[in-house]
Amino acid sequence: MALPRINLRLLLFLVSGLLAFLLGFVLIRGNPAVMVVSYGGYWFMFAAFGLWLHALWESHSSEMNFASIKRLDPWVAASVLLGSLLLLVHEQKAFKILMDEVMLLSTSMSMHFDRTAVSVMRANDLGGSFVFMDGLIDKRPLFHPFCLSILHDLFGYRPENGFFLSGLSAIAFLAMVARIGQIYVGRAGAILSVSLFTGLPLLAQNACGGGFELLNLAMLTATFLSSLRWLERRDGASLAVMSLSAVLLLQVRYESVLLALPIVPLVLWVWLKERRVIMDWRVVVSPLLLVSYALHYQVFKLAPNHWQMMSKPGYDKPFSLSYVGENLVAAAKFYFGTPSEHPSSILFSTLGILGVLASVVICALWLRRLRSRTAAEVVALCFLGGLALHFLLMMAYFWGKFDDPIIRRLSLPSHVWFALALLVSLSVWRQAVRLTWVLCAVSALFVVGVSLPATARHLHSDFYSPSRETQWRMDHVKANPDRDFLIIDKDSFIWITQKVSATTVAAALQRRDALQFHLRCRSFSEILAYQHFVVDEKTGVQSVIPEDDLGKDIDLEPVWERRITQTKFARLSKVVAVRLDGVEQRSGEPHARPANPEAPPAYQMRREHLEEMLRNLP
Amino acid sequence: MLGFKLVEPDQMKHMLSQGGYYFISLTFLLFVGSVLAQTWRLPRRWPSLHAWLTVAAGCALVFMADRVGHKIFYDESVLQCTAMDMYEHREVGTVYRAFWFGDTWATLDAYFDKRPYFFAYLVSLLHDISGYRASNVFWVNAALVPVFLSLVYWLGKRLGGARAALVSVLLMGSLPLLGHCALSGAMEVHNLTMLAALVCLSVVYLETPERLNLASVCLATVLLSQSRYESILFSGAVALVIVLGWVRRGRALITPELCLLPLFLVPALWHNRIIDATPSLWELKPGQVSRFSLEYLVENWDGLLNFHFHLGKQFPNSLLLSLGTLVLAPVGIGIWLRSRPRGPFERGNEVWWGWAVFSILSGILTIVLLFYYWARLDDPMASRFALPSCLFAALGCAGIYSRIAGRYGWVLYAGRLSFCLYMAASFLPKAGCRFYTHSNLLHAQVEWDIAQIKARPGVHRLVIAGDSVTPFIAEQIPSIIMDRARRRLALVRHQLEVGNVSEVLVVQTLVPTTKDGDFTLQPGHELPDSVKLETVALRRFGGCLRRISRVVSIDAAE
Repeated sequence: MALPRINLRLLLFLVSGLLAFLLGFVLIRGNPAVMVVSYGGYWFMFAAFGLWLHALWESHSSEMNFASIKRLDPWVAASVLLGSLLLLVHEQKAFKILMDEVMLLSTSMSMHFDRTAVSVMRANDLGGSFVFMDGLIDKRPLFHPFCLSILHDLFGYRPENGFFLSGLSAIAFLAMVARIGQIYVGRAGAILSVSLFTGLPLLAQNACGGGFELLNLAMLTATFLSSLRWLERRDGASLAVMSLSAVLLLQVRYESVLLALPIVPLVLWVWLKERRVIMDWRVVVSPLLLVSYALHYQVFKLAPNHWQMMSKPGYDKPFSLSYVGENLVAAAKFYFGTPSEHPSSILFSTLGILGVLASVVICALWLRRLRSRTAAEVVALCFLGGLALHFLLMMAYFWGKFDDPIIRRLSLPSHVWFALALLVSLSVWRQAVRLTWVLCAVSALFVVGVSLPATARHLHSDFYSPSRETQWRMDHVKANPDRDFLIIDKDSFIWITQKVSATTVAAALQRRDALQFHLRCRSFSEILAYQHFVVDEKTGVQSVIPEDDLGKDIDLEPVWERRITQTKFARLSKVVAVRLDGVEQRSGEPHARPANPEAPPAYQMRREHLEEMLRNLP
Repeated sequence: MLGFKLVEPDQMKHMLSQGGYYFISLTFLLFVGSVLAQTWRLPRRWPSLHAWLTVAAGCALVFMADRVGHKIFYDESVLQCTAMDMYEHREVGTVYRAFWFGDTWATLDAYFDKRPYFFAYLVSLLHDISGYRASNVFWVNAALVPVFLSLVYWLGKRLGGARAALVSVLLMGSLPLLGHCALSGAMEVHNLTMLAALVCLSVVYLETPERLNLASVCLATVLLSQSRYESILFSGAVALVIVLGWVRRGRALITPELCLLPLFLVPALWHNRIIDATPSLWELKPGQVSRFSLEYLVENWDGLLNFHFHLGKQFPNSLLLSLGTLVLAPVGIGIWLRSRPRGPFERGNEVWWGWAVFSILSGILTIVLLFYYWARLDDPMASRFALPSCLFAALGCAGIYSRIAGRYGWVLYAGRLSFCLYMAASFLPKAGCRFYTHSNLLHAQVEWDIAQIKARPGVHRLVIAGDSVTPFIAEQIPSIIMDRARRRLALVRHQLEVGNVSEVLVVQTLVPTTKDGDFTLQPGHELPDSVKLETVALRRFGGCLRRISRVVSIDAAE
């Protein structure tokens, strides 16, 4: 009896998958996992990104010529350019979410300077060099910080590179959305997709921020288009592009793993159609590229309260079907909210939901005659399923309320779902092109009449004060470019990403002796404290919030203060005196003593003093 | 006779100071004329797109590697002050006393410095065009980068075609030390450019040993000897190249330029004799008595190995170049032995002969430097001495690599992968951190001083500097050294009283006396108690504090 022919590459792929599983979930745990992610995280991303570029080049290099540029539809190209412009010019370039963006920037900082994947928690300017002293692995996946570190590599470290990356991702996303629209409904479909996304203030808000949302969308659409190419080309290079796009996509956001799932049926679909296994060496190694992702999850689980359940009292499970009801209500409030309340587009939501309903029927019909479906239809089917699954997951998430200012951004993939469903619905209808042009006109009117003023006013984002506060801190650094000060702030990492020496309130309270040392030696031109105060509505008495309280032994002198709400304000103060065990140290110039001829050599004293200063850094 | 016997050091100093500018102008003019005449005879052809893109990529790497600013304390500002004197007085001297008289910047005193002055001359030419600007020194260096990389490309292409050209440019461009020097005000990149130009001209001469080509080689040798002190040693390589050309030609080619070459080298010899006769210019460290000694060998050898094979980010070395040389050198020797060369008579090998002769001289120079008192390559101030050897190593690696990569595909892939890994793991993090630049606290202090002083309202002021006056003079800020201020305190008070100077600022360093700080003034930075000071700015640099104070009053008793 003849043995079935074994495809060696498939075998190797299975072995690599098994090895990746063992390494990621069984063999490496605890501290070794932390070490691998810290020191190897960058290199896993480097390998995945490098292989993706290599596969892209191999797959597309023969088509990259002047003729391919000439084949571009000028109307679609113009709509993408105009859409990008409108998305990027009206919102303020700023960090929009307190933790996310700064933590990503912090990780990119350590990737750029040290090639390690940690968020810097303690760093100080030591004689001109900004030295990292302590850090921890952040829970966020590493592809966004990796891309940001490439920008730092090319243009030097700048916190603003985050906005640049989001802007670039927004342009790439709109271009790819237009291409998807063009594939399904032609030119009208491309322009409709672009105009719908241009009219979504939430997209503009994130395109001008420093978060990973736009990169997530760009990688999602890139995976979609590479899947289409795989179904059309059915060769190793296109399979590698698709697989590695998915590998990168699921390392942008935690839940994007669901968006990468559709490639599995697509691979099997082609193999079955072709009656052979098509496998590429880059796909063989791709499971190993996910080892750091699996280890990252292990590290995430190590942290106590890793799901941050404490942040929402009354919830005891991260995911539950019992949350679906209230989350759907919140989603409806968001999708159909007014522009001043929510950065949503009522037009997009209405058309999208109608499209989703229609696409359910269409997909059911397609599934009955699956074998005769075109590449575009099969891909749409799989991705609509993946996007629906993603939406359901969000609805079952304890923090999945789309009307919450921090959570709104999680609705962005659902807008891709809406757009794809709408395009699929229009594509099966014979009169679709004419209707699509009508929808384009309505959408353009909506952009001009509703979305642009809403984006320009950005009332929806003004409720969220941490974003404004981050901007105030950045403004202070810009006004004092010497950066020769030490900051005490419970969110110290915000300052560290600006290359300013900073420490937390808790550390400063613990090390008042160190503060005295720095005041005495004038290690920093100033020691400043950033605090929040609340005003009692009845008495008008101002009091510092407990987390920011530096106690009675540290005297402060206000530098500036800004109002956050009617009863809350932020204040930056200068530390003028620190008392410890009855000894008071005031700020000021150190007194120059007369020279001691018997003192040890100057270079030795300088070194010893520098070492002492390092020991005293809070 | 002229170089060693007939003229005394003082006379040499006077003659060089007064005539040095005209001598270097004449040599430079002849050199440019000679090279233009050479190129005029060549067929008119634009460089290929490959060449443009390669040189552009190399320049991008160099300019990414560091930030623009001074890197070598004292050296660079001295060159700026020399260029200032050449621009204003057509003399070779380093300005150390200058003041504003109304709106006129008047340079009063200059001294003859040990540094060769061809680079300062080029900066003065730019001043002639743009007017005096302290930043011109950076522009000259920036402009030299594409010139240097084009010469490297040319040599690489001759050694092994387009691939070798690309590899040699990328190897040099990705050497952080090159970016470190190219974005400074030092003369290193200029020296390297002249060296590469000399090698190119030598190759052209070896290919066609005729009068004009020989003239260019001779003039380039003279200019190279005026680019850095030790570059005069390459005259030995030139002598060998000239003889090789004669051998290829079958008879000696004696031209007027060749006969004049020893005379043109006399100023460089004089310069070296002046340095020999002026120990104060040697800048020996405490405990050292001579510039060259066997006792420096072990330490310098350690420094050399430490620099070239350092894995971290502390030094601006290129591990790719060091390891590449280590791997490819035996391969190259193997190829050379198997090819059974027939000496300089074999056509097509001229570039390899040119490269070999200059590489040997570069090796000798490295050996000589091992005995020099300040040549520990892992010292940020001395790392730059590695540049010439790195140039020849890069060219050699590129030539050998292109030969074997053409035959074995895996070598090609290994090379590409090595370059990508080196860029990601070493070059880019180094370019991001730039520890070797940030660790130079002296320059950070002076940059801060100048920024603080310039930020003050525009009045006529005098700066009393603790360390050196040249960084301030180069920025056209009148400045005197602390010691002079102590001796001429009455004059300083007088200038303040009559209003010639509206403000006197004092720049001092406070050093710790204990580990807890307890600062005192750095020795040499003290002023008498009669000078009452008011602190204007204070900042920590490493373990020290830098203080800028305003003189409030000076008691008449002093």
